[in-house]
Amino acid sequence: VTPEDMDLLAALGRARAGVRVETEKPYILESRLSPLARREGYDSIDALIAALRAKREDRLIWAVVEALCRSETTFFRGREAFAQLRDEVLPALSHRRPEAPIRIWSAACATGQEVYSLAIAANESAGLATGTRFEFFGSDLSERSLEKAQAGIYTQFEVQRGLPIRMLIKYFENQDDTWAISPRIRQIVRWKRINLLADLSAMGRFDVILLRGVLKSMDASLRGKVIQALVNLLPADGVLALDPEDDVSEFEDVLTAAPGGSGLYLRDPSVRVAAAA
Amino acid sequence: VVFCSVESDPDQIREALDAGATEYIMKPFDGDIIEAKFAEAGLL
Repeated sequence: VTPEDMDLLAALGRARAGVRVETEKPYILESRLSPLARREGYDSIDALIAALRAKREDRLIWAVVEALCRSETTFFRGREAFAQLRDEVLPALSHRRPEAPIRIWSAACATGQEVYSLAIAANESAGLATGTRFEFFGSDLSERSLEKAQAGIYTQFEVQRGLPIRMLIKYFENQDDTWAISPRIRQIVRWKRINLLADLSAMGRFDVILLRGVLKSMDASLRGKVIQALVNLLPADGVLALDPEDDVSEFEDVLTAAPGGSGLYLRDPSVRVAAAA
Repeated sequence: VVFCSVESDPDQIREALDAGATEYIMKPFDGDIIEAKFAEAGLL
């Protein structure tokens, strides 16, 4: 991959998805683009990029951008955040509004492990108000990731990354060497391809939004726009979940870190996270 | 107690848990997974 190719990929990643392509790590680019080149019928990444320049075909451009943005995830990644959601945030929301469903959005859900972990955490949550209902929503830029997420079928390697064995046999069904999420969990999640740079105002209200594994690779000039768009969808007692290591100094006027340091942020610091006491 | 087994049959896993296993590791045996499961079980 030539420096000119790197520049092209970086420009596409930024313009289409707001992603900072790590041009200083060519091996990552190659590992992401090689499978795409093969699928598209090119014998090398060079040939794929040459076609990208020559054709300027929108479908191929998006396929490249999606491949560049694809991220890996695991079940219960950042375990402390899930524990805090299960034990504090969800019970508190449930008691504040027992009539309405609690709406949770994993805004960069990759291959779905985060959404299913959330649904499992909600199911394991003690202290919810009677009749509490949840709506789970998973979105990602990558169609291929979403297809896997929606199928809910994972390899034995994938389920062992982060998923305690008791959760595995409680919420998954064994199919030879793969494990399928139980239909009762899969059916309560909706999926959609969403570009976070698009207008999000029609998404509706969400009580909890997760945007993890994203900010660190997002173009710095676009982080504020995306965070503000997501915060606008949160009610006063809504919670935004980021990575604990994300730099949030530029969002201090709209978000306050919840106690615990697990990466949960409150829209309104006067609203307590813990269940109504 | 952490079981490492090539068996992935849920009934076998339940049997191991009933016998006192705190975790259960199946193939492919991966160093990071083994370390994480041992840590989870309080063994590291």
